[in-house]
Amino acid sequence: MIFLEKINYYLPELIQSLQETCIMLGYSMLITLLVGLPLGIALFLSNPSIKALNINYYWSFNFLITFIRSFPYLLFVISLIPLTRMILGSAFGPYPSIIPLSIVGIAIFSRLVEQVLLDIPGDIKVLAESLGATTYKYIWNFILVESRSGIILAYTTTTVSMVSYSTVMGIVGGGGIGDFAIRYGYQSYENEIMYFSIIIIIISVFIIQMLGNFIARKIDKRK
Amino acid sequence: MYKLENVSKKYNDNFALKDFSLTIEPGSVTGIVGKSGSGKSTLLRLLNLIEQPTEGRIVFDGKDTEALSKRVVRKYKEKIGMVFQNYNLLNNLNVQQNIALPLKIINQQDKAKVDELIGFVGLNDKKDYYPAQLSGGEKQRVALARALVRNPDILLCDEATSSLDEHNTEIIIKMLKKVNKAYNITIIFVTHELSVVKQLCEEVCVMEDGQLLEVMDNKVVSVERNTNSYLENVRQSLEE
Repeated sequence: MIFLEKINYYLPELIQSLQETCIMLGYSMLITLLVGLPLGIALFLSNPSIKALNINYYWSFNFLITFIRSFPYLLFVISLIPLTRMILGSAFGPYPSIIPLSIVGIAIFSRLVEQVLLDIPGDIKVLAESLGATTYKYIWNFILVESRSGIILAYTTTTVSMVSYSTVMGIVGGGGIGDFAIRYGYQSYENEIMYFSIIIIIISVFIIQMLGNFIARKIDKRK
Repeated sequence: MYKLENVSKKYNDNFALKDFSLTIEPGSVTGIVGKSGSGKSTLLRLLNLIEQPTEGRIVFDGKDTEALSKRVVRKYKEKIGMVFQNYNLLNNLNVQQNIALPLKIINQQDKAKVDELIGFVGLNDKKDYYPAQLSGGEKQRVALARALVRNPDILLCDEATSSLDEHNTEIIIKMLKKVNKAYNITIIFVTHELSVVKQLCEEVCVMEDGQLLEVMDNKVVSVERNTNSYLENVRQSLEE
């Protein structure tokens, strides 16, 4: 079979794997944004150098995030099987894969958000204090305004990492393009299929990164 | 307006301000001068109600500030405008948005006031510009307009001309004089630039090591020489 015929032969499986990747990434990145951003802000506010929140929050969040990030991902996914089963009733398939992916995404993104926020000049805090801004107003009208492009880039970096993490979700039946590359490429001795899948992954990462860079550049008025 | 009674402020057992007493009258222009580390910034943080004194009390508008709740302090801050040395503008907001920011904090909008202040600081043609597109002098004019947008009774200026060249310093001084005369806003100008104090202020408070050394009248400068070299330096600058 020539290359194009092979692609055509595996096309239904390829399309399905891309759909699975979209499901896993779409939901997990949405959860990452909704939980990771507030957690990153809480980390920043409770950071010992900021002290706008109780420092004990910082040590708790810090421990949890470092713990998750230091866990080997494959073992992390397997360790979470009982928890995933408890929450969703099943631990296998693209939807259950969202849970470990989201947890890792939240850990990565919140840490990056904290780092971005720590780079905001201290002058902004002084300004907010002098204007009598509440903590909510300080977050909403000051730090998120000044750090918006950095947060977009942090989210982009997290998404790129998640594309990579999602490729091993085949271990819990999550499927996806990574699983397709291993099953229909590597394990079936169809190297062309494997390399073709890798190229799709690389192209998608390039698109995500370029899109993130473009949006960040567009909304960054600091230079 | 402001009455500081034996105010002291301690950080880790070190006094940043010690037994400081001063009265600021409404509508006055007071200069506060001192070398680096003399306690000027601490004094400003106290006047701006960001911090409370360790000892003594600050009476603002007849009320002891220590007794005020956080909510009331926030309300009082609406009466205080602040101009910083480094402008402290939000770089992702344009001129109009930066000026309107203090209103946004209190959930208000007043486009007419913002436009009026843009005109007052002479930036009509740059109201959509971002800080990165402005010169230092223009940034400070935006900061001044922002400080005035909530119609404050007091304007605190922290080294507001120290980052500016002579020409822009002149512009800011003229604007501050106008603000004081036209709107009867009390100005407290903290600086190490004695020439600016001479041009702008009616009285000058000289600080050293967290203490108030002397309050000098800009119009009636004592001819007596001071033994303290910094005081003598200030006296000579005002005399020139």
